[in-house]
Amino acid sequence: MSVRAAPVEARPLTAAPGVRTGRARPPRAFDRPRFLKVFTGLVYVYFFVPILIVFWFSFNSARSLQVFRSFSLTWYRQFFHDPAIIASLTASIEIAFVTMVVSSLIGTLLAFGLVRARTRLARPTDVLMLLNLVSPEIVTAIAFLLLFTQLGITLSIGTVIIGHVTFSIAYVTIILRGRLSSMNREVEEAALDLGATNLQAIRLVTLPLLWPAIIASGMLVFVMSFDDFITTYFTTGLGVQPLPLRIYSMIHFGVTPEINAIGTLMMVITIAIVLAAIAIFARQHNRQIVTLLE
Amino acid sequence: MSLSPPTTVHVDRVVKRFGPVTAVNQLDLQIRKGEFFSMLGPSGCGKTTTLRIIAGFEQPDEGDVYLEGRPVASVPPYRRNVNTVFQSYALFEHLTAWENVAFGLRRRRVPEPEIRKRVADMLELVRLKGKAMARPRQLSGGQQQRVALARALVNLPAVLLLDEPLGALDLQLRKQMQIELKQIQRTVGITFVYVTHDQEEALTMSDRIAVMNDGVLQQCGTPEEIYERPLNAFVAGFIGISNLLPGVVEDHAVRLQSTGQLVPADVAAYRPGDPVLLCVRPEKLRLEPAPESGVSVEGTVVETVYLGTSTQYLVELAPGVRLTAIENNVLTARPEDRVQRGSRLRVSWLPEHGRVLQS
Repeated sequence: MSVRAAPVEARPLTAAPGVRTGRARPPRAFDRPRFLKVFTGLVYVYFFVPILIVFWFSFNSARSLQVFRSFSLTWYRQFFHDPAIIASLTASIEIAFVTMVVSSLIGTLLAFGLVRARTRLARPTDVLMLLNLVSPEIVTAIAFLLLFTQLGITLSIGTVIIGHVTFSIAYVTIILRGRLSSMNREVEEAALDLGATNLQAIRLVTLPLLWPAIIASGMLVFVMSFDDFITTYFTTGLGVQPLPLRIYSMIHFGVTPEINAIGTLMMVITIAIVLAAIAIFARQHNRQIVTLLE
Repeated sequence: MSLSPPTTVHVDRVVKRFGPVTAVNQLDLQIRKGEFFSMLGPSGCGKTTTLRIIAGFEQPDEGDVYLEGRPVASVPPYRRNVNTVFQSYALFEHLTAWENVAFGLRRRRVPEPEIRKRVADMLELVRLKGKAMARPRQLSGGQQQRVALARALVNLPAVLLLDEPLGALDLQLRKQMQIELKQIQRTVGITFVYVTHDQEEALTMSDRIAVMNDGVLQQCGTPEEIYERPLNAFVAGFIGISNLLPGVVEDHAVRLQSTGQLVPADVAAYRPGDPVLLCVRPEKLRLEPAPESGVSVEGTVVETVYLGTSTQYLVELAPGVRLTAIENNVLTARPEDRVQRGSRLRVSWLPEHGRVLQS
């Protein structure tokens, strides 16, 4: 989004000197509205004020969620000394990581199939994948619960991962499919032409070109899995509660400032992952990832 | 055949179909060692498909391809002694120019010191010594083109296949690269098979040209043969400008359909009564009030186009029947002597410059 200042002075282009046009300046075809900066500012306020409030009150020494008394790290200390919450955080990271790896793998292979396989099945498969993407999460989540119960599968971290992988594959496939279809097949043919076998061509040429897209989609999936509530809620077992569920059950007993601390930490983790990935690829002169994230 | 160099590529009655479309039909080509061989034709004529069959990216439905005498039907692309310069260059974006050029040698497990030497020599040959560490996207179109060329040539293949490699360059750069490519080909002495739709490019660079249309070989010969003695109307029309006058064969002459005039021509290959096309190149025509010799027809100048080094005239013989004539603006030609629009005159040519083609 461009926030470049509009030219302050505009000379009338159509009006001859001395002719009154009734306006301070003539309208131009692509004139920027003068309140654009204000409007943009308001959008950002709308975006970030709630988050900033969470961030700010996470350092409140008082228990109050309305009055800020003084700066303290009490709630963070409490968080790190609560083994149950740490266990939840670890469980969520585990789930997100496994989901990321598994769905990146399956999603990438699916994208290959959709773009490369010359089969009539590609179209229907594509539609099915998109259907999975747009179907209401609560329906799929309950369907999972019913399925696991019917099959007599005990709910656990494993079932949560299965649920997360299912909704994640579509995101990976969409990103990878875009990258693959924009990729020139001649590049792989060039590798074969220069003496690389099929496997070498994939390892030495295709994958290096796909990495940015794979990493980008993997990150997206990690973040989505990390804070997913609905699917997690219906597929989780009796063991450790993943973090979003833990937060939810904490709210049952009243909102404590500790939740602000947890929220802030979750934000920091998410943003750190995204920034780290951008940094990696900025260093490799690869603008692909930045474009994808934008 | 015994005196000419051995055949490097033999395309033997190859047929390739894509669904209902026959892309290449009964194609027979013998490409000799060390020659610059062009395949020329409009888009969709099967020239690129032929190139891809030689490279091994497509399998022929019928026929076979022989590289250095051995059939290669069952040989995958990575084990054929050919390399390709792709139309899109297909450079590896994630590797530097140097690594791009070294890719083929690495795959063939050439010792590292030799790789370093050969890549350096090749980058020097294509004048990219200073750009070795640049990535493709940091290079200009012409430079990328040269990396693609170096990457293929460094492997010293038996045949280098080039698929419209200059298509993406602007005119100026293309002209320069045409000469450079030809010089590089002479230096390395490798057989080049060059695909293009640009007839001027093919004439400039090739030792021999194969003209193709609709998957069928139309004519194969030196640029001069193709230009001066086209075998059919397609070749005559595709290479340069041609005047094609419909007529009927009579005794040692063709009776023009448009004017009914009888013009002498070599009709040895035809029988009287055959419908033919009389083909005359524009630069072989002379515009003059009273011809001294040769064949002449009368017409009106309907358009003159000044082209700098030459002037093009459009002469109407009969309604709808027009001849294009080109006269060079030589030292002695003065602007005031140039034929004016609307003037009646005679257009003449020597009988041997009129070529009779099947209509």
